Amino acid sequence: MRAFTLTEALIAFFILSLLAGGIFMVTNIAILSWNSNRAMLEVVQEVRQAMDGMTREIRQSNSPPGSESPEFEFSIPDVTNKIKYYCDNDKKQLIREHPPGTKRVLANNISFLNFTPTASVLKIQIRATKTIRNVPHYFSLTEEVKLRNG
Amino acid sequence: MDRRGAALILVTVLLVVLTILSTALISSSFSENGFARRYLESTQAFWLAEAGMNQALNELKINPTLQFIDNTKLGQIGGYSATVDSTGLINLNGNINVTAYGFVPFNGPRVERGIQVIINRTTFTPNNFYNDTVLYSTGDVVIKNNAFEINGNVIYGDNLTVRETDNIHGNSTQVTNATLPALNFEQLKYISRQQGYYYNGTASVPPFPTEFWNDQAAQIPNVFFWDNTSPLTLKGTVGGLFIVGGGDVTTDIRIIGNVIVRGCIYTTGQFKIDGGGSALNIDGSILASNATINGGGNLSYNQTYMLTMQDWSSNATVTVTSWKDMNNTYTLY
Repeated sequence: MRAFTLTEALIAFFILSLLAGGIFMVTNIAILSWNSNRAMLEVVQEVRQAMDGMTREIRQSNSPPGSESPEFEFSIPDVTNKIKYYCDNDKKQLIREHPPGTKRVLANNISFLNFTPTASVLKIQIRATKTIRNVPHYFSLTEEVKLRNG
Repeated sequence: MDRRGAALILVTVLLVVLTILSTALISSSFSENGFARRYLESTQAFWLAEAGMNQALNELKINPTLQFIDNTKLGQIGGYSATVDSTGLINLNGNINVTAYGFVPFNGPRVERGIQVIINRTTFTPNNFYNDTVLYSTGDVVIKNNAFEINGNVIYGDNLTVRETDNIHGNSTQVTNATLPALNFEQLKYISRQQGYYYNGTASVPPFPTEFWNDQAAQIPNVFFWDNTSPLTLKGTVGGLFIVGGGDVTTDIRIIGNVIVRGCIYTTGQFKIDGGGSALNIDGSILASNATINGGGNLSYNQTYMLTMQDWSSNATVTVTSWKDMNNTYTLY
């Protein structure tokens, strides 16, 4: 049995590296997109969960804010202190404060939070922005809640 | 080099790796699916509870003694139930607690959501006529006797004929197109049946209740319901809410001789007094299609009795004063 010539080996190596390079590129793109999708999915889930909790609580609130506002403080039946929702702009966090001083982070990566009252209906808008490898990704969620005690 | 056994090992290792990967993937998608389903069912249960609450509030407008709404299936998804916290049969006006539950699915529910509401029930009073009105007639009022004293206001729809005007110690007002207040006859029938004072299809002289209250602590009056077309004649000492006719039957009521009434008389027909005496005493009020008084006696307004009757008005407003989601997302309070 004769061994490969140098030329044969070089050609084989070249083809192999082409193939490997192609596969790597495709796989890399897939992995990157998988990772960014997963990161974004986590953001989406967090925002949805926060929105769900907020609407369930705000639904029981007594009165909407006087005008459009980035924060909302309200009372609900059988709960002594007021509950407050706002966005910590430095940490980009959606915060629930109750009782005063006790803070709970509901969601991260929050870039915008707004409460718009219309009679006894309150529109809540949340936007999350996450930068993944220098590319900003956005997720916006809007819900309208009828204030049952309003 | 002998490499003939390598394939089996390689394939086995590969299979194990693939199995682990796929198991992880399947279990994670199963749990994700479970979360999603629970969220969906919880939301469905919430809106079912809202449906139950709406039905309860709507029924409370016309039914002052609603106690609960049985498990009710709604669509193919689930069902709801509701309870009204009322201590006695009559907890008609003021603050009432209503609790509604929605559950999914209907049989063997996995998810339940509850809403607790405090409502304020207020009965509707047309022209405020319950106030101090001792004699209310949608037609004529004829008082032929000069020894019949009326302490309270008189409202009449058509004509007022009085032999001695001074005997009315109150205002007489004409209200054209006056109508009798709509009472909750079905509930009144139910209560009178339970108390044994419901008469339908019999002309025999019944035993009358003698006191106004059946259970004063629970604010339940005696309810005497005469659901016949033949007229009713009151005798002796009687007490309670006397519904004569009512619903779709028109029936007259008569008082002959010295009768003592402690309560309200409501008749869809004529109210008539024939040959009363000085001992004829009515403490309460009379609501009738027309009234003819042909005898002496006393008719005095009693606010307690009248307000009790007002509670049976079938037209009430229900206002939610407090609304609460019973399952809270946060456990901070």
